[in-house]
Amino acid sequence: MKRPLVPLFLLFAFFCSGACARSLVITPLNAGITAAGEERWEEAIQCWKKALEQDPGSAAAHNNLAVAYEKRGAFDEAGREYGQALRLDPGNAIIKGNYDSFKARLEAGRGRRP
Amino acid sequence: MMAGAACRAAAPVLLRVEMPGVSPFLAGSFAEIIVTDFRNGTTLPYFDAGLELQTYLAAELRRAFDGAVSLRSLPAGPGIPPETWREAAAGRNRAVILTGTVRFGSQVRKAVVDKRVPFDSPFDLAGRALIEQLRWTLLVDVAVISGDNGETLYRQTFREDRDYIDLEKPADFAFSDCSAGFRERLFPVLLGSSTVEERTLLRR
Repeated sequence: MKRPLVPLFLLFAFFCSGACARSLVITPLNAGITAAGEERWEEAIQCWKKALEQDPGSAAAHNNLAVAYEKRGAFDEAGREYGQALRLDPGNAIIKGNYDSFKARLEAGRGRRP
Repeated sequence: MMAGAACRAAAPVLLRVEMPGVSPFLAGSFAEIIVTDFRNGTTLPYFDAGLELQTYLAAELRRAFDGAVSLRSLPAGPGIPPETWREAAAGRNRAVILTGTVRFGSQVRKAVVDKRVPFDSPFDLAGRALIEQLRWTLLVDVAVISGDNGETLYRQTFREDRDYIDLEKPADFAFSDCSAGFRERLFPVLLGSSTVEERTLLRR
């Protein structure tokens, strides 16, 4: 009785891994994340720009670029990238969370009396 | 296991990132700081505090600021109208001008203190000693001027004192100490302070 279950389980696992398999490939998006994790932010920017060349509709690439521009201090560019990411994926709570934190920090800094 | 590993690799990545400071001055961040020589209110004949401060601030700003930093001589005359500042920043993209007046001088300060003086003497000394210190004072009246319209965005006076037991402490040594303290207080105002922020990167 158990014997048919083993191959069925293996088939199920195969399809599941296949569904996520593209994340195991070193894409420009992932390469950028690796670079950012190692504080190589300029390299990360180049990776995510390349990701956008391949897929201009990638909200993830726009989000990640926005974070990198924030790190660089290019706040105008960061705002533009967050806006693009939200236009492409308006229901994405992670992008919205990043953008809300960015906006709050900008307003707190620029609103204070020097 | 393969499925789990593959799907975990697609998960968003939470990072803690040190973000640079946000300047309070302009709606858009400024891209250039023009540093003038400061008007010198000091009478030290061998030490041009105005020029020294300009050189020091420009060097420190180049380290701390990602945009351009340039030098310019202060226009002559006491009150400088806005159009002069606009002309000074003509052709520059989103520039601000850092300028002002500097006074730098010293005085010997004396005090009598009650303390046991370790003299080997048949007399019972009450233990009062005279101490002398050389105090160098740096006073900087700083102004930040918009390169777009020549208006003053910010004005503040900073004072830095340093006391030295060495009564011969040279001006340039003391100026280095005082200007470092001035920098520590000015730069967070001018450039904002960096903070560590959480941001999430997406894999897809």
